[in-house]
Amino acid sequence: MPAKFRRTSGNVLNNAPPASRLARVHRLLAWFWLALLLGAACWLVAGRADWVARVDTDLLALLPRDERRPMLEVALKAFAKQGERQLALLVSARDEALTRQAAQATRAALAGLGLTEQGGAMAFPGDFYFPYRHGLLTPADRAWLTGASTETATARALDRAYALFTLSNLPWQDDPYGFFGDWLQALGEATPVRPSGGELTVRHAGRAYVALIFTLPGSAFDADFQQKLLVALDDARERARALDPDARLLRAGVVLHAAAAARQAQGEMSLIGLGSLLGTFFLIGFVFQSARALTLIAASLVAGSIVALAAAFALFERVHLVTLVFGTSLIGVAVDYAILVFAQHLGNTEPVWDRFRRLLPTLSMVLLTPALAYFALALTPFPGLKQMAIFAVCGIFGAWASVVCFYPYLLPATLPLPKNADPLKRLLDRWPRWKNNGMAWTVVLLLVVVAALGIARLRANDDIRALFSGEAELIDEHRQVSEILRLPSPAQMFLVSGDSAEAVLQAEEALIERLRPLVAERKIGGFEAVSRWLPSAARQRENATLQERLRASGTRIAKALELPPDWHASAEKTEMLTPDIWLAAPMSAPFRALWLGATPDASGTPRHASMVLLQGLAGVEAAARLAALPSGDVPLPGVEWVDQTREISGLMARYRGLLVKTLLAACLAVPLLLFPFFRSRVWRIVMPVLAAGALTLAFMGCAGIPLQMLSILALLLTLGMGVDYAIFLQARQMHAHTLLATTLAASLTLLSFGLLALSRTPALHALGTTVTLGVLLSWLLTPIFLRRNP
Amino acid sequence: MKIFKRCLMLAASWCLATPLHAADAGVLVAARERLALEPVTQGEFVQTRQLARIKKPLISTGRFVVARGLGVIWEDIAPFARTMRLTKDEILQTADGQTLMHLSADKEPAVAAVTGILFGVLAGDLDALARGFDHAGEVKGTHWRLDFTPRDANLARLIRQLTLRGARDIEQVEIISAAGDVTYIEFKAQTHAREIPADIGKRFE
Repeated sequence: MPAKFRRTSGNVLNNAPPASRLARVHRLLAWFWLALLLGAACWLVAGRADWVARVDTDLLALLPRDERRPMLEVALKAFAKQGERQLALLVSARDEALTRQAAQATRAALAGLGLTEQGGAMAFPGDFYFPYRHGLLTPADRAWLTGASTETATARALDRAYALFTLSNLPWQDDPYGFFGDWLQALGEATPVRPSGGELTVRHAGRAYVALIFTLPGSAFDADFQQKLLVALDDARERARALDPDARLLRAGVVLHAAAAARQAQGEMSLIGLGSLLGTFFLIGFVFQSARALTLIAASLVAGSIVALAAAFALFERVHLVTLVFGTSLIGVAVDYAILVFAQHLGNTEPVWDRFRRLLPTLSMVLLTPALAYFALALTPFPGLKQMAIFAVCGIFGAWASVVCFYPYLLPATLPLPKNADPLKRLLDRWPRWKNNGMAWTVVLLLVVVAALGIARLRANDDIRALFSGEAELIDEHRQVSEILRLPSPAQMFLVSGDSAEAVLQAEEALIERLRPLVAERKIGGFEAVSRWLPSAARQRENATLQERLRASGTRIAKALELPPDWHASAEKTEMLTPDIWLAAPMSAPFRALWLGATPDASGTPRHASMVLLQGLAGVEAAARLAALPSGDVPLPGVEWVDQTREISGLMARYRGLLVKTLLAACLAVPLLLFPFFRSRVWRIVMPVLAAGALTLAFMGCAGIPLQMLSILALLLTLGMGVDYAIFLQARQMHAHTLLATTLAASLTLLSFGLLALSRTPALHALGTTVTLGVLLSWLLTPIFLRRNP
Repeated sequence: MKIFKRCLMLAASWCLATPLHAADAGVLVAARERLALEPVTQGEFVQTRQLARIKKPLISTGRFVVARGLGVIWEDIAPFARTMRLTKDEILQTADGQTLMHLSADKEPAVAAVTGILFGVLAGDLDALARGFDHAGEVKGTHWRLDFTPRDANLARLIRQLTLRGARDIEQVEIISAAGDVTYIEFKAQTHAREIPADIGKRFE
């Protein structure tokens, strides 16, 4: 808000700075800072005009990257990219005809959004695989071939020749034993979806569904498109219900979660932002009763926002919406510096510059502690938290620097001492004070016992799902769609790697042989693997060799059906299916993402890799058995179990431990750092906030709120802010105006974080709750440890 | 050989005589009126298969039972003895008490489509056939003929055409598969019952 500064610049004359060298430096810094702010503002307006498109609503973007397996990281990213533009809908009504009508109605409602539908006219795999059929056998047929005699083989072929029907669409002579038909049918087990009557249909639990699979025209994170899609889907549901009141429309897609998250975050941002701003302006107006104070405080907030936004958009390609929600809660912290300065002005007639110079050390100290606390956020491996840390540190620094650089020129000479401070002062006088007597120690002992009991009941929760949650209805629909379409989970999988494509396929085949019993036991629903569609060259040769046993039965069949003796020879001369041919074929498109291709490893040699995904993984026990497979009694070389949920939770647990150590270190470091300034009074500053932290933990233990990495971070923030109030009260001693300022600052922080606690993003909720509780307690405890006024 | 010749003649007669007129509802209604569907139909069959690129016709004979609401039992006697039991969601093939093939619609949805067609053909459920196929045909006195061509592209991958001929009973069925294998079935010595006998009911359990 540079215009405002210019308008009030007449005051520069009122507050004529002393002509010292320091003042010249200050003036230079002020001009520099003004130029920087203007520059940042212009850059934001001109260079980031498309900022709406750069706001990320993808919660996955907040998750940590796996540095140890870059190949997997790249693959998962590509996999997610491919998936994020998909929208899957399942339509179901009373009977098949109505279901088809409802599907048509849904299609009509979505027309005009530019969606591309993956239609019912799927390429029939039989046409593609026909030339390679001799190398393709199901495990059952391989086993049968190993044990079959000439008689049984002859019988099998003749039986098929005389059969009333076969499920195959090939002439008998092209597949006399039905091996190829069996193999194609086994391919069908990969998905329950069947094309029928121009629709993709699927049956589940006695209900028929039509699946509508769409690809979005653009990004799933396009806010404009998201809203249009939500409206169209509501319309589609209404149209389907008009046909049949019990019609179902199940929706799944990243775009829906993104849309819901965006809508939620925007709502919360308005709530927190508007609530904090209104509260701030109301309280400030109430206390300072000065339009100029209000304008200047608003200006410091605007400056802080400009710095924070410019830094975030300059350092990150995309800024997450959650960062912005969190950022709005900084209003309560950033406003503190301006409040402290104004509070010192109340009823003070000292020259502005002298006053300011005396305040500067305290002002700097109160910048440092929260900034350090926020900086701890950046230590975590979570990109989202790093972004929040940078946003927060830049935001509060921006507000602080603007206060330090501009305020001396712009401040009014004095402000009248408000009457409102008096009741507060009387309350403070009656506030209990620490006395070194038996009564006080009894209370302390009691509190220690309560705190110890509460802390003993604390449970840790490092589950990533406790941090980010979507809309319950959408999650439920997504789960149902995944179950009905048997979509694999990308969170748990096998990573298969080898020196060549062939090695990967062979390793996959070895793995799949071990997975089949688990499918039979219903521990998993099924699996998706490239080798199902593209057997290794070794396997194809093996299959071809196995079928050479059929020469004798071929002769017998020729006799029985009056065929030329070499009738079967043409079938034996089939081609070998290679990865290149398969990858180039249109029918491999849905499964290509599983094939990771060649990536150079640490030593630079190319390593080929693929993913084997699992459908319907049932329970922890099954996951444990799968995890044990690669290193079991018969090890599977090149196969690695990847459990992303577990790994991230493990990472969270490690960082929770690290942050606990950081917190303990901070508890020791703060008194040591403050000792040179406060000497014997240090304990009076540190005690309230330490007690507040311990009681917050005890409260969480009693209330059953689990301890997460974020609660520790929140305690670090509490430490930073709580120490601030104490420093200020101790440093300025017990003037009514300092009390007023701290009260104001703390209540604004409480307001902002209290509003953050209302967030439905569990991560922000946890942060907001803990900080609110911690700040409230430390604020209530601080006066107890104040020295009595002389 | 007589059956084979008839089969060829039949095939030739369609090609020459009857251009298909789409969805001739009158023929379907007329055929349904003439057809006397009883709860149980039993009889014998002679099946002739003419496989693509193979000269020798493959003839098999046996017995069949259609129990409406339950399913179809198709019992080959010669040249191979084996039994196929068709129900709505399942195809079970056995020989000497051993299971040769077991297909279930739960695992393979195409099975439901196949059983639907076979029911239509063997049990005379003309309306079920008319849902998935375009039909045409003619009626002469008590006799009728219906030709069915699949409407759905996926069904057309399996079957090119179905033809049913009959009067009170279905007498002849011809299935031309998409791959060109032709199956011609003639039903003989058909008897009916108003109730499903206990021994037949048992075979569907």
